[in-house]
Amino acid sequence: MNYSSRLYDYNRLLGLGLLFHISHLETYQTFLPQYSSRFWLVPGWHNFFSHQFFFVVFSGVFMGAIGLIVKPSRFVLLWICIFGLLDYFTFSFRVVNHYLVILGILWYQLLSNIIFRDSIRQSEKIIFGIRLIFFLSFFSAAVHKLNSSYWLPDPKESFGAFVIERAFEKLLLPIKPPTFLFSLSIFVSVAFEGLAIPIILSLRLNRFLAIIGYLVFWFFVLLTIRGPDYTFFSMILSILLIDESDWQAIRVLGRWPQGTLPILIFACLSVWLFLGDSGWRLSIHTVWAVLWSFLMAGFIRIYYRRVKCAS
Amino acid sequence: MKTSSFDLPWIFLTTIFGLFFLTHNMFPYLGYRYEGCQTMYSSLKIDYQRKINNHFFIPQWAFTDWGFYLDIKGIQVQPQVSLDKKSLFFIDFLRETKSINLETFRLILDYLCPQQIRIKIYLTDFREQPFFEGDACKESKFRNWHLLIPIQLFPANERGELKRPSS
Repeated sequence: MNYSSRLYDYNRLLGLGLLFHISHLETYQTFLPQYSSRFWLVPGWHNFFSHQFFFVVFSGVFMGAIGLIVKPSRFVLLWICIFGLLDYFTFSFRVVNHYLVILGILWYQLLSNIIFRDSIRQSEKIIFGIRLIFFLSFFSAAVHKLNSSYWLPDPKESFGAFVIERAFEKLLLPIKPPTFLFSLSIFVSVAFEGLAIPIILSLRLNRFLAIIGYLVFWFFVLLTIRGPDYTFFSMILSILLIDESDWQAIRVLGRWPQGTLPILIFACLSVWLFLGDSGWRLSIHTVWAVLWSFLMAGFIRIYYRRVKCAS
Repeated sequence: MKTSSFDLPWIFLTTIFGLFFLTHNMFPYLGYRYEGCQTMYSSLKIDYQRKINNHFFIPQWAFTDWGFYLDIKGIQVQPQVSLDKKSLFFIDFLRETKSINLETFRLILDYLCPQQIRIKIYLTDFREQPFFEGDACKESKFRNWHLLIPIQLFPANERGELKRPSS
């Protein structure tokens, strides 16, 4: 496919995120029923379908994700769309919000590729569509939160309040969070989800500053709720919120050692925050933190360059 | 963005996709499903039978009963000899669990009932009101499961987590 480089890179990261998504414990539970009673989801999930069925679907999604990382082609898109849909329309590994968003993005790209043969000219239009899918998803999430339980400043009722309680625990603060912080967190979380993407896109001069804030938000969410795949998919959207030339400037940071070394040091510091986790989760968080550091460094660099030019 | 006649298929495709997403995400209010509709961590609570929810302004409909969850208050299964592994799992599952999705219950009965198994069960709704008592295999409302879209076996807790209730 003749995609622009940021759409191409975005798809490769999407493949990496899909690997995160299917590498959760529930997947192993599907294949290894002896562990069913130990893990937290539904014991015996595999009994609703045969092991062979799960094996075929899992292998299909897994190979599709690898294919997307290696080379996002039309065939790979078709492959992953079929197996992803099979997974979704049966008892899937993990039916969570972002899975439908990811499948939607992949199907949208596939259909766009079929309709528009010369896709490099259409990259901007495809990026517009992906932004729209994400915006509608975030917007719906914010609308659902407009209910009487979510707006109670009580960590047992509202996730917005729970995040603050968890943050105080993680930061080892000896005091309980005050009630006004719960209310603030509830308001900020709803406002952020509903408005983040349109506000970032409406900004011209301070867009990079807004994206840095966007990335800090997802780091905070990961730190408190430990959901690496959901936050990963949300984080990589930042690539599609900038122009092609800006992405080229960020990509330069991937060069060793000028760009890569400081990013790795930064990433090590980020990983340190996740050291309480173990096994697969720690490894996923490590990859997450490296990419987050890379993007943060890139956006900060461009922001300062813009400020310098303006002055 | 400049719009030419060539852009019409793109506009059509993007509009269809946008509408699909928005409609799918509004499924909880229509009674079709709750999971995967961006409802995680939203504390949105829905009572499909009474057609009420805790949302500030969106009303509740229930065009299907696919989203119903029922409490199992008592169960007797006969006979239990010479059953395959899957049947035994389903029977154990019904005995152990406290709540079950109606569509999942239909799916289980679809497998068990043709094997001449009698399942006497007492089900209530969330208000503890009786929903059904008797032989589930003879009841027409438990026949024919419809749902291809997956649905969780247990109701989510207030944080949207799929945790199995302790039995």
